[in-house]
Amino acid sequence: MKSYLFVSKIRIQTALAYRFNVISTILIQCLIMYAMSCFWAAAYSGAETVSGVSQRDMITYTTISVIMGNLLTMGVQNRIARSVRTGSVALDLLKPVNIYGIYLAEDLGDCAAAFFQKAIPLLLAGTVLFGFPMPASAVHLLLFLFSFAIGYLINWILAALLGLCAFKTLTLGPLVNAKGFIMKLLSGSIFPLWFFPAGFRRVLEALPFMNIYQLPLGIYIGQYTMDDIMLRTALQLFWCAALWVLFDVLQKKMAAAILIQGG
Amino acid sequence: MNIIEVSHLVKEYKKIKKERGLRGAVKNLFVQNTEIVRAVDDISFSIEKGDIVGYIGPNGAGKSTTVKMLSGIMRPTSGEILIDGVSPQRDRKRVVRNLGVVFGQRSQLNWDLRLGETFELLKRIYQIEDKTYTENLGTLNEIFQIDRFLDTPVRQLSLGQRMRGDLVAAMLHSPEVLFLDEPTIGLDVEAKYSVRKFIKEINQRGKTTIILTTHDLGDIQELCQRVIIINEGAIIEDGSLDELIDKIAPYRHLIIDFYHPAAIPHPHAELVSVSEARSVYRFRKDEITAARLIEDISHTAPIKEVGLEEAKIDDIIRTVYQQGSAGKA
Repeated sequence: MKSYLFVSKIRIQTALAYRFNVISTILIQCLIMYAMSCFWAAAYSGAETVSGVSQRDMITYTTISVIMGNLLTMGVQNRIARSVRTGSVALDLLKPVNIYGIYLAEDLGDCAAAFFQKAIPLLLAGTVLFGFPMPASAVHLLLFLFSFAIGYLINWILAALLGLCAFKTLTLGPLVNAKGFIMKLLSGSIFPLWFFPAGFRRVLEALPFMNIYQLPLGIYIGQYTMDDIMLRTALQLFWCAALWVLFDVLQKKMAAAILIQGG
Repeated sequence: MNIIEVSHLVKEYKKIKKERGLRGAVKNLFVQNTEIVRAVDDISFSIEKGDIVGYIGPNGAGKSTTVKMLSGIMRPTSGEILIDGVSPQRDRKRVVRNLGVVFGQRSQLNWDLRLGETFELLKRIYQIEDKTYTENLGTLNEIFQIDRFLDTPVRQLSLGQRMRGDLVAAMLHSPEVLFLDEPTIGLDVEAKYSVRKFIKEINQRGKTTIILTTHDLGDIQELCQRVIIINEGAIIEDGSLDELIDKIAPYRHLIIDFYHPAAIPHPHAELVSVSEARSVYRFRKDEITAARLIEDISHTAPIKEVGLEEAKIDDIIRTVYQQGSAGKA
């Protein structure tokens, strides 16, 4: 356990060394946040609520969504692809640790660094621009945090699953971008699912993606009833477990087929 | 006691045959011709605890593939490996805990961190006690003097310093077995010397078993009690370096400069060339000693200068490689 924590700590340390990246990210994300708020203002154009959600809630949704986006940056897919292509996966496998545990620890370290470097500045910027994005209640905030954590794991496992492909294909190429785009659209990070037509929405609700953004965000702004939250969180936990099992099976299969590149 | 046992090890992999040209590239998208290549073909050997074994062969002979299977990061197609009684394929974590590996072409040091920080990470990964860690680092530092650059970021280290860092990193958890894959590649004379000294010392101090793959035959000559030569996936020689030299090149050359031109035959040595006052004799070590030969000849004519030429290790190894490929073809 100590080694995984130390890996996270090193990642935080490393991330702190790159300041230019942080400043540029914050500026761009602020711009996106502002543009989205203008978009929603235009879309609502004076309407009190749309699908039972007020414009104020929608701006909170967007602000928190942008912040979440910075915390949910996953390195694991590229980490695996790079290690496989250069053959440095050999060095990872030479340690008496679970390599995926190390990759997760690295991503969690990045997440922790992003919390201080990006999430907090963005929250401040959001507060200055639109006022503080209040959660529906303290209970909702706690439930949000739990739901966010499970969503993080689901997101990580999906990224790791994509990373596993690299063991076979050596590169991921456009797959990473394609996945990122699909996730953004289907997870409710830009448009909440309740704005989609009923049929399409039902399909999206049956997929795991909405558990990453839509569910925690819906909880945050108080869009769901308590009963609904319990049911959906149970479903979210189910997805997390199911994807984990899938990942574990595939990962064991891949371990048998690993070819190390380079002499 | 054998610490490493390898029996009938085979590694096959599929190689995709790419066709040439644009047409070929398009064709490859739909049909892929694969052929099965045997990188390692039925290899068996065992290594005793405390030995330094040179594992050598030409490029692409299957050396690295073997090392990767020995360390559990690649699975063999068939055959069995036991490291200290444990199969690295069945229990990777347990085997690597007792294993140090250094790839000369690849560093396990973290580019962005100080050298010392990588060591700190390894301390936690291998769960090394504080006391043992300090002791080990102290001992390794004694041999290698790394404390001068312990606080330097790895990306600023020279290749020689980085190599030292990698060797220390591999030995921090005092493994019983050490695999070194071309540890002296690209190093200058001084750095090479200190790497060899390091290898010798850790072998003597801790009875560490070492498998060394290298193309630098100086490494082999100075370090290895035994060499295993592999070519095209199969072992073609296995024994001590002296045995190998006796077998491949049993001849030595004695060069004698006389005061006056002379050509003196000897029953146990062949006179291979005579020019003016210089004669070159070829003789077998097991038939006559150089001292005896000089003595015999000096009875006939006064000798001014003598020189003795051993077969060159490079030539011997090249002969072995060629024989290996010829035998297969």
